[in-house]
Amino acid sequence: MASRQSGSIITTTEALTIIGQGIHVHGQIHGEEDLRIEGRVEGSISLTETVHVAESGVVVATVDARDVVVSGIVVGNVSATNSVSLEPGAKLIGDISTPRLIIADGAAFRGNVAMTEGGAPVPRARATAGARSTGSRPRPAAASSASARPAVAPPRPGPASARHPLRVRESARLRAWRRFGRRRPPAAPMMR
Amino acid sequence: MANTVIGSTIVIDGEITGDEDLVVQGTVKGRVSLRENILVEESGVLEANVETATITIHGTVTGDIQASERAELKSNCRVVGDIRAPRILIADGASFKGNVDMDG
Repeated sequence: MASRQSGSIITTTEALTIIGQGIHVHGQIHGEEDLRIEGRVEGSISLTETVHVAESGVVVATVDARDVVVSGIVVGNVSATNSVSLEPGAKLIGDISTPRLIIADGAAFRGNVAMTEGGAPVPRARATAGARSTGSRPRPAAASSASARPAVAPPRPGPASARHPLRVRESARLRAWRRFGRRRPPAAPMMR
Repeated sequence: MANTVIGSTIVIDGEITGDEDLVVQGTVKGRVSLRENILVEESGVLEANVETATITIHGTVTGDIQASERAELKSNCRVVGDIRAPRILIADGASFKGNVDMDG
């Protein structure tokens, strides 16, 4: 259309939604295009494209998109149909559900991960050093219970749990907690 | 850069506050409270009460508008609601229903 006069604003680049640094959105956002968040969003985000949380961005929301790229701070559950990427400097607290998860060095994360394939969680045990035999299936019952509630494991005798996949997960949690500056994790009894 | 843009397929249901220019090409429902400029483009739909410094409307606004400096209704815009601003400009071809208060 005609030129936009009146000194006020703004030449826009098309088809990219930006929540700028000085903006605070409280409520629901949904749509079908990329969204870049440099400001603050509380509530929920539901997109068919990519959500990019910039370094200055703070999202306290449930995020649902095709791809989610986090360079800033996200508090809330994140679910992506394609990928979730935590860049260096990212902080995420919440559960992630995605087929592909990329966590870069320097990213901080606390929560559960469910690697889904086409929406449903994959009931597969994570590959550990002990469970890598091709012939035998690695204990599906133990694996599913581990992915169901890995946060607070029942106390188990120390050496016997050495080969359990839970142990790998717990040490990852430990590292994540240290990154957040905590002295010790909440209730996990793996220090015995 | 760093302007806030609500793209044409985006729907925001809730509240937008801040101190930065805002371009609306999509839909915003709820409340908008800014200290800067709002531009509602042709495709933009604002179903909200708006508080701002200036607002320029090419699209559709349903709700009360309170602008501390200026409200500008361009041709082809559709506005339903009360407008309160010291300076109000309505272009030829604009559609407007509501009260106007220019007392500031």
